[in-house]
Amino acid sequence: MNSIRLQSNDKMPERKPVLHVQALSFSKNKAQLLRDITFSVPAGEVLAIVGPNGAGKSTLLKILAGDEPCHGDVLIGGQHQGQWALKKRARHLAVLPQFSLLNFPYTVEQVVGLGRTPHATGAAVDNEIVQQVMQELDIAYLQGRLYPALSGGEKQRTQIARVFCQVWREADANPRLMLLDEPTTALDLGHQQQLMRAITQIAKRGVAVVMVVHDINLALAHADKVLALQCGEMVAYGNTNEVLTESVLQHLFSAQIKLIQHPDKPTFMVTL
Amino acid sequence: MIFHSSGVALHWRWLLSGALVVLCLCAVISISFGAVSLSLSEIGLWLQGKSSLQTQIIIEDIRLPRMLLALCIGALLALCGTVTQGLFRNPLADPSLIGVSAGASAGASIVIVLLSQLHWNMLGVPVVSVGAFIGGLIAVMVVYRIATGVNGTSVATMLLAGIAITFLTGSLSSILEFYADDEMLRRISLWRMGGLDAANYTHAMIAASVLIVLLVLLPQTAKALDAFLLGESEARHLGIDVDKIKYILIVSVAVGVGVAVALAGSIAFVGLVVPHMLRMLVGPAHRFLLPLSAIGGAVLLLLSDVLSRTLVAPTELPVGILTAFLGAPLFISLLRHRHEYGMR
Repeated sequence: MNSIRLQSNDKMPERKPVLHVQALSFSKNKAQLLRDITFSVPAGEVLAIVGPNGAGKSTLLKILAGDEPCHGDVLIGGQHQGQWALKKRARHLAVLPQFSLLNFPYTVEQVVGLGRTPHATGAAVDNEIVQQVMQELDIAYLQGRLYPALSGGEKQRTQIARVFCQVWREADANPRLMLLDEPTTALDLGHQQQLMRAITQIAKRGVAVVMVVHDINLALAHADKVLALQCGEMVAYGNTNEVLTESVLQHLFSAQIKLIQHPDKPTFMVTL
Repeated sequence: MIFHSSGVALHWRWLLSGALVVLCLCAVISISFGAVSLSLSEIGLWLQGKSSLQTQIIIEDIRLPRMLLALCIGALLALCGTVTQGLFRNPLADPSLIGVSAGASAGASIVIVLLSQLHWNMLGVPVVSVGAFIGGLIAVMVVYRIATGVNGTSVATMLLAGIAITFLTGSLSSILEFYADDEMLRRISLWRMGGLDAANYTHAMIAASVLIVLLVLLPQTAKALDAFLLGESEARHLGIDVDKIKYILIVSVAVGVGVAVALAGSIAFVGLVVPHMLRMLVGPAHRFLLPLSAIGGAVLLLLSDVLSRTLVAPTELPVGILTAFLGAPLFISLLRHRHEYGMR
């Protein structure tokens, strides 16, 4: 699956990257948290950011989302992150935060619909998109339930659906970029697999995806490229199978890690 | 929830019309009940301009301005309560959290104690009310400045700064009371209880103009308020100019509650209980919640005012005592049952 998508990318090598990051550095309280980070993500590509705790993964994602100013360049659709008008940017860029606190009794459908806030497409179109996305992420049966009463995994799927809604249609905005901070948090195995499939699908429809993941197996199976961070520095960046090697992983996590061939797919799996 | 959210959207016109009919009924009740009861036919005669002089005086000089003031103040308080709960992302927040009531109370005390020689009016508004309004505004401005840094306004800091300012202005009021004489103390405590007995057309018109401005302005922020509840950076990622919205909302609450407190003293729990109860009925979407809160607040204060005038007639209870007396148990029951409404 992975190699097939790489080939389709190879057919259009001159495509302008949706996200281009050049020499990004970031300091807070005199501590340098990120140093000299450069990469780009074209439409249709899934980039996984991996690394040990405290490596700066979430910080990097926050900077990409425009929450923190940084040194260096972050270009979205060729335009500097800070130069986008907020509302316009929201049509192109959707962000899934690590935690979400919503304490008000909105229904699942309403929360998902909030993803359409930046779009002026009208209630009928918005509602249709909400229904499609809820089907895609298997939360249609939760539609009328109240968000605060959901389980952790159900809340996470609802938030992901909201983010999907924001960049669902090419007709609304292009290029489109999704930034996901640990999207599989609180999801059971079945829903992890389903979510990854949904992410692959939406990427195929032209969305560039950057996600922070902890589960290396998910990165191995579903990411086109991987960026490995350690102490704020890029230790490796490139195609998934080239980056996630035993030596890189052992160095990255300071642990005895073995890669074994997946029995059914041309990918590897991690074991300790 | 009684209505499903899509049901509310579907039947919105009927719902709004129904609420307005209830409001009109309460307005009629408010005019009809009091130390002297007026029958519907008497009110009908008055509407045609054929009533007796006594009825005309009771209605036009006493009950009508009072009814209008109660309606506007109730609507202002509930509207500001809804906004405050959204702003703090907490369904149990109250406008007094950002210091406006305490500031207004200190402002009133300052005028009563230090400027006791002044009995003049400003454009028909007693100087105590002006002092209260200014006190409320200053308190909110200080709270806002404390909570606003380079990274925008922190709602959590605002909450804590509001508590600090409430204590500070409270101690200021206490110092003033310490030096006040008996007559001043009586005036301060009467002012604090809140009441609509000083109602006149000027007061009602001031409250009405602020209410109309807020009723036009706030529903435009409904979408932003919904997004805001997800969190500030989430709202920004949905394209909302968070700092601008916060500024609009804080100024609205300061002016709205400031005017309400200045004209009617502190009337507790309307701003807390009304939005909360309506959220249970129609859900939290601000497009529906904001207008219905305004109507709900007006209804609640109209009915409370009728009770306050009739319970111990021919004298009357300050309406603030009544709303607090009814509101506190209601609030405690909300706290105990909030899980059932999907709130944590």
